[in-house]
Amino acid sequence: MFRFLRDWIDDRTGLGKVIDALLLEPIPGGARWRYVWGSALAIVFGIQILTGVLLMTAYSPSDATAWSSVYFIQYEMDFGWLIRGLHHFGSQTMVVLMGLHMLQVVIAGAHLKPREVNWWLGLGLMGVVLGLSLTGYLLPWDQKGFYATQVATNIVGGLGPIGPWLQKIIVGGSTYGHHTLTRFFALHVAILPGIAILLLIAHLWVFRRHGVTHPRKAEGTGWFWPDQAFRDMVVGLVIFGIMLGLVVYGWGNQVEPTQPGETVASRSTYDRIAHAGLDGRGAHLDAPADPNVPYPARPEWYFLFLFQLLKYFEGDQALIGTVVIPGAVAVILFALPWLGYGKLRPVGHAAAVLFVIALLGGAAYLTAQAWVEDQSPETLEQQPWASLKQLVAAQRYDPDKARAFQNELEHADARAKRAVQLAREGTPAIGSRYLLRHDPLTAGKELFRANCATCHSHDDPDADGSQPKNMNDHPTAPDLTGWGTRDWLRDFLTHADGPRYFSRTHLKSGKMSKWSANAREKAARNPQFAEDLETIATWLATHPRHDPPEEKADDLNAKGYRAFDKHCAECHSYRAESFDELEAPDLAGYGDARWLREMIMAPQHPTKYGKNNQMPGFRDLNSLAASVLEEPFREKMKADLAAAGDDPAKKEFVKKAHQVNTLTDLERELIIRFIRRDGRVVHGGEPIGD
Amino acid sequence: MSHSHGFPAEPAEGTGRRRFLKWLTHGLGAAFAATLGVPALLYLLDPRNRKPPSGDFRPVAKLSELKDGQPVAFTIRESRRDAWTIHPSDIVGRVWLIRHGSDVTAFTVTCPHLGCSINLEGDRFVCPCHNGTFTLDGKRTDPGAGRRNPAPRDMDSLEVRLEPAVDDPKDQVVWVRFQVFYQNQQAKVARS
Repeated sequence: MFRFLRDWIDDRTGLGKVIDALLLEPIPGGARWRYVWGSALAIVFGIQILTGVLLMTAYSPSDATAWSSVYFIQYEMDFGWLIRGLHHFGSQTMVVLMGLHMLQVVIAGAHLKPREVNWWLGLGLMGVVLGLSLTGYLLPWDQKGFYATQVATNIVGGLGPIGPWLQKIIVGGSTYGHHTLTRFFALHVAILPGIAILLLIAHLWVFRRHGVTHPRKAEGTGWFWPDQAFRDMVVGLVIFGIMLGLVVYGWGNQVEPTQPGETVASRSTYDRIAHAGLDGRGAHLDAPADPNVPYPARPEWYFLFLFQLLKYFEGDQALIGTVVIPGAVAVILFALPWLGYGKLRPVGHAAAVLFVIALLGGAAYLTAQAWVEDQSPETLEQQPWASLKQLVAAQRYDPDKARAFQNELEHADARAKRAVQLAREGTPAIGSRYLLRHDPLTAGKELFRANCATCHSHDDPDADGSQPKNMNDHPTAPDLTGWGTRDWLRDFLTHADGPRYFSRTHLKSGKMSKWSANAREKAARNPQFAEDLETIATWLATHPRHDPPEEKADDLNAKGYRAFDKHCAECHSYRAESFDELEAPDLAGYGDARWLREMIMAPQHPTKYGKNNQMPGFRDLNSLAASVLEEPFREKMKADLAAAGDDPAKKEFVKKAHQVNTLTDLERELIIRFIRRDGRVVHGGEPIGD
Repeated sequence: MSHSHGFPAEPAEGTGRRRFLKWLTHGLGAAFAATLGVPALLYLLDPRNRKPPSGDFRPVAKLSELKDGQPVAFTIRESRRDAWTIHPSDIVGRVWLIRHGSDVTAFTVTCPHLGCSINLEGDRFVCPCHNGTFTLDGKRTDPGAGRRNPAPRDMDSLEVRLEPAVDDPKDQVVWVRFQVFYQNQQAKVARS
């Protein structure tokens, strides 16, 4: 049956002859292991095409979606981590194999007459492959690729008078955006691979014309099929195995389970293998690109030597590092075959070998130097890196710079981990970078630091010992770490007069401070009272807003309300119906998002601190609503000022109570969720609320 | 043997070593293809993991907004996840609501033929693509003018639930269980 089908096709297409022509190539001198590098490159290139096409089926090249689509491949799609990981390490394998292939070619003298044209085709292929690496590095649109590629395109911008124009054409605009991605995408998936395939066909065609360059003493004739093909296949498989090993070893971030009750153990075996990205397998993905967040940019390791070369030529000498030296190297490589004409052949051959070895050695030296310069002194103290430092970078090494780089890198890694964790719950439609821009624990924390930690104190949840644990060393308002939780409330009840709360403020000798000092003593000798305090704290930590309980009820709501009624209601109200008599905050919903929202927007409101308030309100004074809503606030301030009479201190107090700072709704919600330890992303278009 | 680069005679078929090498190369190639091919195939089949819309009841309209026997189109809003994107409150579809006294019937606007949106034309529902035509009860009917009705089934009705409105005890809220069905088949089957 198989034979019939084969004959049928062969009879009508002549395919058999083509295959014979491809496979039945005589190899003078016999098949050899040293001939495998070209085939190995072809095999890895094949893997790149296959995995690349697979990635194309799920990749979405736009500023808003690129990062998330790569996240989705890496962490959510079946075996996406494997496909992307192979593609990622495949590109690095290509670069390594190109180095080996080139070395083997010049050692064999295979670049010399009559094979000059094939040497040039090979150089062209090398340029295209490096171009593929450069364009592919940007596509995930993460911080790393975004910033590293900026360096490359800015170098283009410095190329004389046409530089800026050229840069704009390549980047697709003045700054990076949608068209940077679509243009790099087109280059990466269509234009450069197309050129690579054409060059590869020509490369093989010309190679066939001249055959392998065998050692002079070689005897006999081998055949490509199966003698050389077997060797190629074995080496190809070993290389594939190494790539697979790198992918499985894992360079990504682990993701914590997000579903209630979900654990790693509760996942099925298939699930754990198909989604091994969640366990950190596969390639790394940095935080989404954000031009407003700095990043310690470094190119991929095989471009590090170029990066390092630039450091030697700063200022107006930069062109030497970016154009002159790489250009000279390219010209010499191009000219290498011409050094070996006629009787000069042995000399030219030796010179070419020396040049390529020097080139690879120099690149290795610069790469090691770049690596060492970025390592912290602590890392370098571990052997054998200490001697490596002596070897490559003793003079240039700056421990402070290296430490700063490592710190930045650590910070960037923390952001990457957080972004991936948040993406598990879905990305806002406005774009991947808004995962972190609208993350309460990232953006909310910084907004708290800028707007609230000028007076309030709060522990930094991400403090790692290198900075102060608290965000404010000299607070003038209560500490809000854990505000609204049972523990915070219980501590406040008996320490409101203490250093964490009101002793910092104008309320240090107010009614609550006095009550609290008294309660502290009373709780020590009266167990029933101490228990009532516990009940009040537990009840308030549920942020109660329900109706006052019926008389017979005996649950937490009822007990809490009764304890509150007994001990707190003299000053505090619960769901006050009239604002006139209030002298302390209304405690209905105390600690929930709505209470906090009202407090932030209008702390001088009678249901909040009222006439005791000294905190500025934070509202969006530029919003459309403000023009309507600000009027009653102004009227209230006028009335309060009138009531203050002529006493300048009282007038000052009233003015401070009514002070307003501008804060947008989004910023406020981020701060609210940060204070309430609610890590959910605030989505655009979503009704902002609990 | 010579060193010449001339084309030598084809290799003799089937010495033991050569045959073994061929089979080994084929075998290694097959192992290679399987290691790459199986994950690649499963990767391409990944959409089988994507979930259909939730199919929960959604509040759509108030009974007082509907006039007896007069179809009105309403939008359905849901939190929707499209691969990596969350749309917290997205319009996921439209429904025709028709009141009959204190009862309401609901039809999805999607035509059961090939998925165009069905319009109201006078006292009939008509699909603008291929003349699928339905009565106000959603039953298939003759399009007239010698045309054929291509719809394989009647319009897709949706489950409706009426609940008292919180802000107005005399009014009721119409809840609809919004689902998406397969087109172009006689049976009404929700998409999985």
